[in-house]
Amino acid sequence: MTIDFIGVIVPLSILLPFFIAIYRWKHLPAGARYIFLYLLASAVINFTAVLIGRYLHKNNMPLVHILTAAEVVIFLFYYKTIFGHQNKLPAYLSMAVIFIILCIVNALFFQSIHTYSSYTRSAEAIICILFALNYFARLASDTGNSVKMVKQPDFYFNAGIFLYFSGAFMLFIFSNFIITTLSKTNFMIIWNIHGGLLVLMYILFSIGFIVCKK
Amino acid sequence: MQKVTDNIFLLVLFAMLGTFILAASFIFFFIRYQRRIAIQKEAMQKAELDHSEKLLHATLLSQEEERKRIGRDLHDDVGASLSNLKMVMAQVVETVPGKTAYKPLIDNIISTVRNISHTLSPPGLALFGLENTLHELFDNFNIGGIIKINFENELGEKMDGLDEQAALALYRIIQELLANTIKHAEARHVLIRCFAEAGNMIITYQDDGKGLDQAASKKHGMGMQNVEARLRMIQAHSEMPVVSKGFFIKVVTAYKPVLTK
Repeated sequence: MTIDFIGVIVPLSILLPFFIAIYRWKHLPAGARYIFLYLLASAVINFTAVLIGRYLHKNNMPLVHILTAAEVVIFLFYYKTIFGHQNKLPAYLSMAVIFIILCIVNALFFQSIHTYSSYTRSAEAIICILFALNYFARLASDTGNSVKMVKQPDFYFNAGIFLYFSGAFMLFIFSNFIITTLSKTNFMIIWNIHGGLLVLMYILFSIGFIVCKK
Repeated sequence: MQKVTDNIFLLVLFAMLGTFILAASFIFFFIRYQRRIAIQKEAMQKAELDHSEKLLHATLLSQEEERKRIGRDLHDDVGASLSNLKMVMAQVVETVPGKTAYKPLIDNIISTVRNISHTLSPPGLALFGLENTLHELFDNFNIGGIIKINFENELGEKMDGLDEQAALALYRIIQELLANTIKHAEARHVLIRCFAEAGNMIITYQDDGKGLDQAASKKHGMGMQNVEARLRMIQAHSEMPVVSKGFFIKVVTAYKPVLTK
C-alpha cells in the first residue's frame, strides 16, 4: 500500500506545528502567534480545497487567490511584530491593502479565479523572501544575539519561510504553464517536490514553536 | 526560426532545485558565519576576563607586599625606636623618683604599633603556619569580649602545609568575614571549622547574627567581592547556602598537598 504523499502526508504534516503551537501557547510570543495564525488559515483553506477538489470535483482555485492574500497580510503583521515596527502600523496596513487590491485586480482582469494565481503567488514569494532576508540581515548586525541564534524561534520561522518560498518561487511562476504542458506524472513530481518544501517549512516551524520562551 | 525542444519539466525542476540550493546554502553559511563570530566574541570576552582577573591578582599581591613592608617598617623601625625611647626615658627619670607615668603610655604605643604591624602583615604565617596565626587573630578578636570565636581544626598541623600565598589568602578571608560579623551581624558566637572532604580542604564559617542579604551583598559588598577575588586567586570557591539563622559560608580549596603532608 502506498501512502498518498501530496494528498495525505503533506496536508496532515501541518498538524505537527499546529498542535505544538497549541500545546506551548502560553510560551508563544506575539510573532509566533502570527505564524500559528498562518498555519490555521493554511489548514482551513487547504482542507477546504481538498474537500472541494477531491470530493465535490469542483475547481478549488478561488481558494488559492484568497489564501495568497490572507498569507501576505498575516506575514506582514508577523514582520511588523518581530521588527518592532509598532509605530509603523500605517505603512504595513497600506502594504496589506495594496496587496489585497492587487489580488482583486489580478482575479478580475488578468488571471481568472478559476486558474492558478501565479502573478500574486510569485509576488507573495518575493515579498516573503525579501522580509526573510531583512530578518537575516538584522540578525547578522545584532551581534549581541548571535550566540543564541539557534535558540530564537524567529530564526526557524524565517528559515522555513525563506527555504519554502525560494524553492517554490519557480513553481509559482510557471504553474499555469506546466499545468497545460506537462504530463500528469511529471506534473505530480513537481508538486511532490513542492509538498516536500512545505513539510520542511512545517518542521522548521515546529522547532521554532518548541524553542519559544516568552 | 529554430524550434525550442527543451524539456519544460526538467527546466522547472532545475529552477526549483537551484533556488532551493541557493537559499539553503545562504542559511548554512549564515549559521557558520554567526557561529564563528560567536566563538570569536566568546574568546575575546574570556581574554578580557582573564586579563582583569590577572590585574586583580596583581593588585592584591602588590597590596600584600606593601602591607608587609609597612608592617615590617613599623615593627622594626618604629617599634625599636619606641623601645629605645623607653630605655632612654628610664635612664632620664631615674634621677627623679616617682615619675613613672610615661611607662604605661609608651607601653601602650608599643602595643598599638605591634598590633597594627601584625594586622598589616601577620608575621607568624611563614614561621608558625596558618593555624597558630589564626589562633592569634581570634585571640585579638576575643579580647573585647563582644564575640566568642570557636575554632575547630580537624586537619591539625596539616593545615600549616599550605603555601604562603594560599595561607595568606585564607587568613585574609577569615579576617574579612570576622570584620563583617563584628560590623554588621550583631552576632555573639562564631564557629570556624576546618576539615577534609573528598580530598579538598574545607573551611566553614558560621555566626549567629542577623544574616546576610545575599543579593545586596553580591552587588555592593566590597568585602565579599574581596573574599571572592582572593578565593579565585587560589583556585578555591565558596558556597553560601541559606541558613535559618545567621551567616554561613563554606570555602572549598583544592589544596591536596596539605592533606598528604
